[in-house]
Amino acid sequence: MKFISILKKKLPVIIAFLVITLCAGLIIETLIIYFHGTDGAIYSREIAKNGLGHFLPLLVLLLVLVLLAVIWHIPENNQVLKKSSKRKRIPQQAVGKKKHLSAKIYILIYLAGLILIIVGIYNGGLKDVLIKAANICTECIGLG
Amino acid sequence: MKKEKNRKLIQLYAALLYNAHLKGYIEGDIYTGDIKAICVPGLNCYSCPGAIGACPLGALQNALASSGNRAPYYVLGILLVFAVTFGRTICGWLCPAGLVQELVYKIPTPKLVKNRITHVFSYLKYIILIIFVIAIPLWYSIQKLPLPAFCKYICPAGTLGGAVQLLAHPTNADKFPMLGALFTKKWIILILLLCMSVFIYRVFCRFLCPLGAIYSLFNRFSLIGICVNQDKCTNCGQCTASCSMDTKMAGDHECIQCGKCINECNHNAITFQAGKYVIMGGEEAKENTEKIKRITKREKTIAASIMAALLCVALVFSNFLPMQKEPAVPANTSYGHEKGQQAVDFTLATVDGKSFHLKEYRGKVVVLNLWATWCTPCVNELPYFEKLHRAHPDDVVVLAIHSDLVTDDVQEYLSGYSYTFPFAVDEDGKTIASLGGSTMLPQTIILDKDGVVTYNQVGSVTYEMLETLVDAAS
Repeated sequence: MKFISILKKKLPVIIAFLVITLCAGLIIETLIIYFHGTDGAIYSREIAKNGLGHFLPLLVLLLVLVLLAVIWHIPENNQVLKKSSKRKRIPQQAVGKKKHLSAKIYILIYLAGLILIIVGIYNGGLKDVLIKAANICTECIGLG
Repeated sequence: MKKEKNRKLIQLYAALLYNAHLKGYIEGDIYTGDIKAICVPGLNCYSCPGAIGACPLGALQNALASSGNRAPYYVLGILLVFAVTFGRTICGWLCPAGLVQELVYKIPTPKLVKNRITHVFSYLKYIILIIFVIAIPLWYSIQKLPLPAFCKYICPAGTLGGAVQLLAHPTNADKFPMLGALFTKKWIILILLLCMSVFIYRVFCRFLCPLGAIYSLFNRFSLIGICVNQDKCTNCGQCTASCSMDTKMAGDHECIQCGKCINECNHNAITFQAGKYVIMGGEEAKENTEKIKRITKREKTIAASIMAALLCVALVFSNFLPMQKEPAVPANTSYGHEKGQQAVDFTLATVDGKSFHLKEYRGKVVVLNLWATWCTPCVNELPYFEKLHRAHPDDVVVLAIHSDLVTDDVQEYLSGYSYTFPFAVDEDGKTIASLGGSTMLPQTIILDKDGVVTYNQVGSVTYEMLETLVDAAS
């Protein structure tokens, strides 16, 4: 029982430590794979599987601890690393007021947006978007 | 709690709507239908197998990169409409990237709360917007090199939504050799951001997201979002103290309009409104007045029904309607684009007015390069093909085939270069389809002297690789 109460108290810190270890481990493993590989043969499905496999027990442990935290109703904001600044009284002039513009201005803005879209469709902008979106952007996903 | 639960449901709905192409996860390929020309409001990489719409940020960068030829009116118009209507309500309610961060933040650990340093860092996203989304693509557009700098160097959505989900599928195992330094950097950025998201609320949204930066410029004027009733507000600061974002006041440029402050306000001064209609908060104002109207239960039911219908249409449209081109391959199965198969004969018109008949080049090694003017890796490797063409003028034939998806005048584009090997445009896409052209570029196909495919791979090549492959085909 004492062990469980200590575990409940320390659980967020243990989870934090596991998260940092897991992420650091993944980064180090990635760098090892990268620097060991040769041009055109750095990564493969088997290397990826083996690499991730090393961290599977850690990931399972993390999931178990998170599940325990959920069962024990440990809140997500259990502790703070740095205290937030004291609640400040906001000066009157700084109070946020939604600046709802007049209806005419909104209509003008929407009209401008519609005109831009229509002109864009006619000058080929729509086709540009479709061509780029309908093909895999190899740069965007890191394939070079 | 109920409001937070509703917000999560809407976030999940948006994530599913943007990624309704569930077939893509099963087949390991992306959606290529025409509705992909429509930009979704949130950050959702269009290279994700499930994506049915375009990412507004990626579209903006590519539009700016093509701005040497035409101004990006279409993307700017869409962004203007989204920003004025929703502002950063998109961040709080309609962005899958925000949802992932919030879910990861739920892992119970010590947390880093906002302070002066995080408030200063929150302006970093504007610098990223100016440099990576606007300046770099514009600069490279002058050199006719389309470079979506934010997508290429920073965006974690592309790595998580695109790379990981595509590469997880067995059919994409041949894409692994394409991974190199760029993927390594992006993978590390993704892991770091996910790790930081455990300890810092919405770290990407607060410090790095340029889309949030764009929407924040319109946050105070957006039709839908948080409103503060100045008559009821006592400036107690409870709203901003309880807010996890770097807000100085409710509804400012850092506010993602999540509505959390509505519950925290002891004076019912904060409401979530769509124009004059109150959707959440302001419990005292139960009756409709001239200035404020409440959304009724019936109206909420109608809105929910429309949303459900939209999702059903998206799921059916993107998963069950055919959209892929059929390759023009004869019934004889010895013809095809796989290694060892005989390539289908084709004739294409070249940009210099001549024509290229594949049959005429039997007895020579044929190197075919599928490329496009809008594809930066393609443009970068063209000099290698030129070098190969000059090194083997008698025994190797090089042909660059432009995709049928043409955005620029190819001939005019090439007039700025001094390439001597032939370029053709596949106007109907059939030749590319018969060569096994996929949704990825560049692609290189090498045929031996008998016209049999010896190499057919997506990915950039170097001159040394080309020499090795040509030797093998000889």
